[in-house]
Amino acid sequence: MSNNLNFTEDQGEYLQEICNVGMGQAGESLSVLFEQYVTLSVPSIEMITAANATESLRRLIPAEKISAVRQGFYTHVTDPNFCGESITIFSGTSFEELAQLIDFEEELTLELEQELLLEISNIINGACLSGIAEQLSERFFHTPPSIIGQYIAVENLLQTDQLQWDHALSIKIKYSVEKQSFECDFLLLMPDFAVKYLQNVLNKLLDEL
Amino acid sequence: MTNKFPYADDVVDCIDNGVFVIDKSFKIHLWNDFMSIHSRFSAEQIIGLNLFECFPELPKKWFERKVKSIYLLKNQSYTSWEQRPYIFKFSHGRSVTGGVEHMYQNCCFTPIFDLDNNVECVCVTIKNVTDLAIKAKQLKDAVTQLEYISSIDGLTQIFNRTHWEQRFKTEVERVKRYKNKVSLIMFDMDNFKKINDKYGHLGGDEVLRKTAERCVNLFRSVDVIGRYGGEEFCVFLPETNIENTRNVAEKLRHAIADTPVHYESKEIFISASIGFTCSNKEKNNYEALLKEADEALYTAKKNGRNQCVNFLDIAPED
Repeated sequence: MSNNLNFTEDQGEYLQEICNVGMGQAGESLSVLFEQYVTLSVPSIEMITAANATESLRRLIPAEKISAVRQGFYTHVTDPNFCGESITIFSGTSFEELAQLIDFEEELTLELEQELLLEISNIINGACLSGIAEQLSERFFHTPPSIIGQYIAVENLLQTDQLQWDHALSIKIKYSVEKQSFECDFLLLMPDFAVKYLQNVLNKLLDEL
Repeated sequence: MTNKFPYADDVVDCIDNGVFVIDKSFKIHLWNDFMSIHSRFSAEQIIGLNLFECFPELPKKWFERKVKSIYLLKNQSYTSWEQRPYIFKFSHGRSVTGGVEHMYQNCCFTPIFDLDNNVECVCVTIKNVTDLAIKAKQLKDAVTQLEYISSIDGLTQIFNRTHWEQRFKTEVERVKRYKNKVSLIMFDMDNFKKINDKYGHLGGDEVLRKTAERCVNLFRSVDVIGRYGGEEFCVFLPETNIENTRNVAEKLRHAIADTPVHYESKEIFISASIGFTCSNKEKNNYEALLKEADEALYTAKKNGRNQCVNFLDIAPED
């Protein structure tokens, strides 16, 4: 199973290129929206296994306590259905800073703090995925965001005893905003069958080059 | 497009969710039946008007920010009842069964594109999730109540041993971390077996109930009182030194012993033996403190009951 999921050198380079361009676009639109310069790290792409999911997450997200929001995405009418989930992870940023980012002026209650997490995650998710979708000439649909947990340990991100995949592709991007200490990590995760579909799309695009 | 279903507009009216469309200047372009029914604005009345002029109570800045991000990122945006119970304060359709003040709503803002793939307008859908919200609230209330019930001693209505110990453990951890102090009082009713024998178990129960009540009246709200077992009680006092603890222990002894308990027109004279200690050493730990207070309590019993003993007075010199 793991063997045919590995990317060829061409596929890997092309995927990296697509992500880089996609993230560049995402950074631009986020900078306009937040009215501040948004920096995105070069996406780091790797394959993780269900058996080592916790260890991999701990390595990808070194923070002790995190707040995390998940959101699903999928494409229309493709077989197999291409899908995955994104997880936006906040570790050190205060709610006041998050509120400033989107001019949120209401007094922060527990509910409004959660709304902030959901709102900013949805914005980041939308910007990133539309960047990648455009490069892949696909259209992604999204599910509404939901909170996985606030102040939880990284180990509690996934219910590792209930995973329905063996391998998943992980794309990690780090976000930071120029003037603030705002930082968050964005993880894009795709299960086995979605990776196969992605490889087919990559092959087609490579053929067209 | 040529074979467009002729009744597509009627379908929008059939949808059991609110559907409306606004543009960048918040002019309304579509308003389905669900919106008409709940808002008292018909489509004829409202189309072409500005959303905020029709609904001045809407959070304008919030709305503008939401729509701005949709135009810019070409991305859907959402609200959930859990964080924002509603956008439009509609009635809930539970006029008889009641229980809520308004319709709970999940909303979705979706961009609609022109032929050049620019955002032309925004479609907002409003889902009525009142029943879901009520169920979730009932569940939450039930959990809160269960948590309360599982922490309380039924007879005395103060904390039971399991819950009290949990709280005390947490407090001792906090004390260790921040180098604070905590005092502990343990006391046991004197000759309780005799009271039970003389007045029956119901008489004994009344003694325990009254003792708990006197504790609740005497201690501060930050002090945590529990029933440790049978006729034994425990109280921990955050941020309290041994001198203040000595004073409060003496007050407690008086509060218990000075007034008899009335039971079936009889007066039951009661007293308690009290042991106390304070976290004043380098190595504070929860079990050691309990053991110290218990040892002091045992000394109070041995020395003739109805008295307070400070563990630090009987502790062997280091």
